[in-house]
Amino acid sequence: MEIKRIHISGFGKFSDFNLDFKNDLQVIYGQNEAGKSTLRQFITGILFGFAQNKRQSSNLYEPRNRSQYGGDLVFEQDGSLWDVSRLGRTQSKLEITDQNGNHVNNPEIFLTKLLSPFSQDSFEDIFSFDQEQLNEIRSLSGKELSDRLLSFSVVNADQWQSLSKELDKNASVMFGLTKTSKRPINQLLAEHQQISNQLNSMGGQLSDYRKSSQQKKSTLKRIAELDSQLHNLKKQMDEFSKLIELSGLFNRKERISMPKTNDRFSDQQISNLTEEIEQRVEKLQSQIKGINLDKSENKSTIIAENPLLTIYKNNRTDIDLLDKSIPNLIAENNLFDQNDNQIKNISSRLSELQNDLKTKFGDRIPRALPQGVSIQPSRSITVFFIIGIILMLLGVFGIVKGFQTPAFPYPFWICGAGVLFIGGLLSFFERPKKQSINLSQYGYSNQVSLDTIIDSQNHLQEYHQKIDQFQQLQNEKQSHLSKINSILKLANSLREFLPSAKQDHDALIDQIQVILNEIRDERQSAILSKEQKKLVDENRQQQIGHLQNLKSEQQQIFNYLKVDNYQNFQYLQAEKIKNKQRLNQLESINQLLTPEKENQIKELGGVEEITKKKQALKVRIDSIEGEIKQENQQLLNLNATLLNASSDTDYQTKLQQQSDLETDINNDLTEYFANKLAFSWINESLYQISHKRMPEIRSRAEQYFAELTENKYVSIIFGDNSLLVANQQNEKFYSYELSKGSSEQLYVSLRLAFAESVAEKNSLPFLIDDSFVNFDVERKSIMDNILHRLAEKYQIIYFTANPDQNFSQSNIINLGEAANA
Amino acid sequence: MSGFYNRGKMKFIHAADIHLGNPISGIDRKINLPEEVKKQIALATFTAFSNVIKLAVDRHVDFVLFPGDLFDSSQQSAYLYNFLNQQFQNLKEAGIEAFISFGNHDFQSDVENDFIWPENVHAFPKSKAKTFFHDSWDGKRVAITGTSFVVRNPRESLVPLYPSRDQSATYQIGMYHGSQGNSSANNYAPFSVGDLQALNYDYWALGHIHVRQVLSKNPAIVYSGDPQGLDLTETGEKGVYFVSDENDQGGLTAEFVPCSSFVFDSFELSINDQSAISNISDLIVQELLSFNHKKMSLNAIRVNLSASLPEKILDQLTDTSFLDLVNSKTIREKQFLIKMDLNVDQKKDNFNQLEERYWQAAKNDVFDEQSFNQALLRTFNSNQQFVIRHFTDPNVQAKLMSKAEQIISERIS
Repeated sequence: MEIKRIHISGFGKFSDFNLDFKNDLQVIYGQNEAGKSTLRQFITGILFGFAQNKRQSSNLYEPRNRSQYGGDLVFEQDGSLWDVSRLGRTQSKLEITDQNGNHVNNPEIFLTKLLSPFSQDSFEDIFSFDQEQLNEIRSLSGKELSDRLLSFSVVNADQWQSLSKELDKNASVMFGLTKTSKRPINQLLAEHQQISNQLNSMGGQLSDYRKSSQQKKSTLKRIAELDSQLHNLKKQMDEFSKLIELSGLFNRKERISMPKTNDRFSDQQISNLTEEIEQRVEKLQSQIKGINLDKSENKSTIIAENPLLTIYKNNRTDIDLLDKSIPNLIAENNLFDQNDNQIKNISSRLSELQNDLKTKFGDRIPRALPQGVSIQPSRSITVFFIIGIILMLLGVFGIVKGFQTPAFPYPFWICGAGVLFIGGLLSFFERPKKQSINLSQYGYSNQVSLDTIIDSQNHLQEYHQKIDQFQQLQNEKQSHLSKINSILKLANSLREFLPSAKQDHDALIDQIQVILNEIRDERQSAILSKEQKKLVDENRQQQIGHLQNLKSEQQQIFNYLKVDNYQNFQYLQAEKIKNKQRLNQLESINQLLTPEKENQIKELGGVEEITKKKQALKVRIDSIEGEIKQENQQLLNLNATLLNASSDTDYQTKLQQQSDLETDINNDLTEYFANKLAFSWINESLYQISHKRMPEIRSRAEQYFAELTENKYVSIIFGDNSLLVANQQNEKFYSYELSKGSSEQLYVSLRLAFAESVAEKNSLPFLIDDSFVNFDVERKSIMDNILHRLAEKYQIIYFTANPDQNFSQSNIINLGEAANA
Repeated sequence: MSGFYNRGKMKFIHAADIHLGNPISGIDRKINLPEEVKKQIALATFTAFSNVIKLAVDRHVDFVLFPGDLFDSSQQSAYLYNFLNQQFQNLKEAGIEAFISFGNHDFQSDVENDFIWPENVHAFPKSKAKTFFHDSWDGKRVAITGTSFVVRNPRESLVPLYPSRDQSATYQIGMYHGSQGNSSANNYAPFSVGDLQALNYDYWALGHIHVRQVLSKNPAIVYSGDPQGLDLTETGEKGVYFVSDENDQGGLTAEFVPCSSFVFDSFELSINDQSAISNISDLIVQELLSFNHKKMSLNAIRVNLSASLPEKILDQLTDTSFLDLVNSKTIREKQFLIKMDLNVDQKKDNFNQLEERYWQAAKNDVFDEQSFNQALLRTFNSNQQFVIRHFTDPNVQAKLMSKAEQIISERIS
């Protein structure tokens, strides 16, 4: 495709600007700021669309004045002419008209198709050469340079390369391939390893558990065994104990069965002593004994006579009389006591009264006045008496006066009568009197007041009464006393048995009574004993005869038994009892100590042996019990261990944690692998693209390079990862070993060769913008030659700021001039 | 009414692939789940198993069948050992028998020495098939035939070991652990449905495949699946089959009974309106709560976006803290999100036309399965089998490829 002409309506510094292009080499000469780059951008913009936002280029080439943004461009392809018009930067309106002026439908699609297989990127990367690119080459070195050179033929190689670098970095930050890497994923893997190890060691847990289960089983078995052993031993020990118990009996039996040392009585004698005989003898013996008692009683009847009895006998009459008089004596004594009491009462009251009256009347107590006598105290002439008399006189006078006043006598009479009356009363009642009684007659002294006298009358009367009573009682008491004494005289003979006469009578009387009773009893019993004595004597005679019978019977039995007397008999009895006891013992021993047991004891060697054996058993039993305790303790421990292990979910939890960690690691590794794969993919693609294209381009590139280096370097070698050049001597140099100028030239050679190879199939104009600035003069003219040659086949649009001698004028547009036109 | 067909019910439970003690896969450690949830997850297989036993006791079944993978021989703890014993004890007390055959995960166990199980538990021997007889509660004689693995993955079918149907039994049941197919590398004890049918048994209790399915109805050849999902590929409710002959027409019917401690689930969400991104967490919460799982669930979501998002937002959404954010809102209902994939529908071309084919060729070279697998083996040692296993899975590798592409397209836009 070749660009024919352009019309800029508004773009950068251009507005309403036209330019025609030659088909082959079109040089556009312009100073700096003439608009070379602007033109280039315009062409690219019309063909592929204007830059929409500030992302890629900061210069959007908005026209200075108000002209409409854009323009149109006419190009020829495959013999047809097309006019592409794009107006407006954002939401550009694209129109395509053919050479006949017909508008094309769906211009975007159509244009893309026309320009395919190129996009803006590929167009710029393949057909556009600018100084920036070369500068970049200059800035690279080493592998980067080599890589860039290697990927000369890849569109947007630089972007791809930086992306792949970024992806590789992303990946290697996450995970390292060496053993010692500590990147995040490596650390997770290390953690995973740790958990695996932990799980492995915990895996031993199950076999431990099984072992413990087994142990538990065998422990239980052992305990059961020990238990039965213990049981048996205990049983045996029991038997031994029983035998030992019996050994006591055994020994006793031995002792009992031993022959008797006390051979006092023969067995025959003992067996002869039947129970009947025993009873009989005893009965006889007690009877005999009974009789003996009677005899001894006889002796005791003669005892001394009671002395009282003797006295009685000597003073019979007195004492009989005394006896009879006892009631009297008692009565008199009572009366005497009564009197005594009464006297005591009276005298105490008397002394009271006496004291009282003595204080009132002095030592001489007067007599009481007679009853019913009232004492009228004397009254002397009082004032009222005198007033009364006076009033009477006045009254009389008044009356008299009344008589004297016959005209009005009544007030005088009335007054006089009244006054007379009043006076009369007054004087009557106040008249002096003489004392009614002569008090001194009765013993009252004058000093005593009448009131006192009157008050004391009761007391005086009582006092004199009591004095009389007192006297009377004294007399009575005296008479009783004499009676008592006369009776007591009768008891003189008993004086030695009575308390002293100074004792009070009550005691005396009681004692007399006691003595009399005793005398009575003695008399009674004396009489009885005489009668008894007669009976006893008779009995005695009987009993003596009876006793002899008994004794002889007893003796017969004794003879039969061959004992001498009762004492011997008793020994025999005792012996029999002992014998019986012995037999009983033997019997009861034999109940417990069966013949087998007896044999057993004998077989075991006797009691001591058995005791020793029992002790040995006890020792064994103790040790077995100890063992059982230990085993039980172990069982407890085992149970605890088993319980712990079987409820421990740690293993399962850890297993789950491991699984979760694995998911985590795999997710992270996915990210890692994706980045790594993308990186590899980009690199591989870059490699493949360049290497696939390399053969096509190599010879051409070599040619260009040899030209540009003036045959310094004559061949280019594409290694897998490196680019080499060789000189005529076939010395090889890595691309990054070249000088800056040479690597630049190499780059240009490669690019040109590539562009040419692409253009052979589909061509677009080469846009070369002020490149080769760093080329020296020779290089520059070589370059120009090359461009001339290329221009023979393709449209080369060459922008430059340098006036160049190598180009013919017809090929040159002076932009400055054209712009100003 | 007497006669050959009793009016009672013979009933049993088909419970394969218990995988007792197996941890649950797919939960990233970085996710902050509450402690009791973590505990529930760690012991999920135990809970499921005890649910199975409880079901057996509640329904007073005749016996329970465990056709393989009851536990993993390499992972055993005293807790598991004791737990298993106790559960079998529960069965014993209810008068229920258990029949166990050992599969690829538990094939190593040496029953007599390793386990002290009560007498109601019967294990099938290696290298040969054995038939146990059981008299059901309603007086029917049931023959149960099975065998245990000798090696981890028997290459040949084990069906030839099985005798033909026992004539004395009312019901003949077969237990088999393996997968369908011919003897190829990835099959365990491969069998064909035809082989099983030829033996004329009444019911085949299969194990090994974790998805319950009925391979054939007459006779019933059934996978019960595992009673607890072990990773995100095992979504939906899980449980066992309760099989009985209560059906009036005769024959055995199987009823699925859920037994899991929690379920896995996955779903997709398409967001076409970019402005909805700002409350995407609420949308997801809404979606989670709408499922009505009735028990705890662990979910994975794939979000389809119509356009790409800024890198910063993408990073936020793909970080596990986003999962924590969602989970904080669904914690009460216990519906948790454990994985989120963002899928951006990119219509853009990453590569220009000129070079497209080179990029594709390079892609095929770089993503070569063999070289990738070799690189994996070089990098990771035997202790890190989990990495190798995960990344040699073709699905995972495909995801890696698309993720690599996504990374590139995110960056160059």
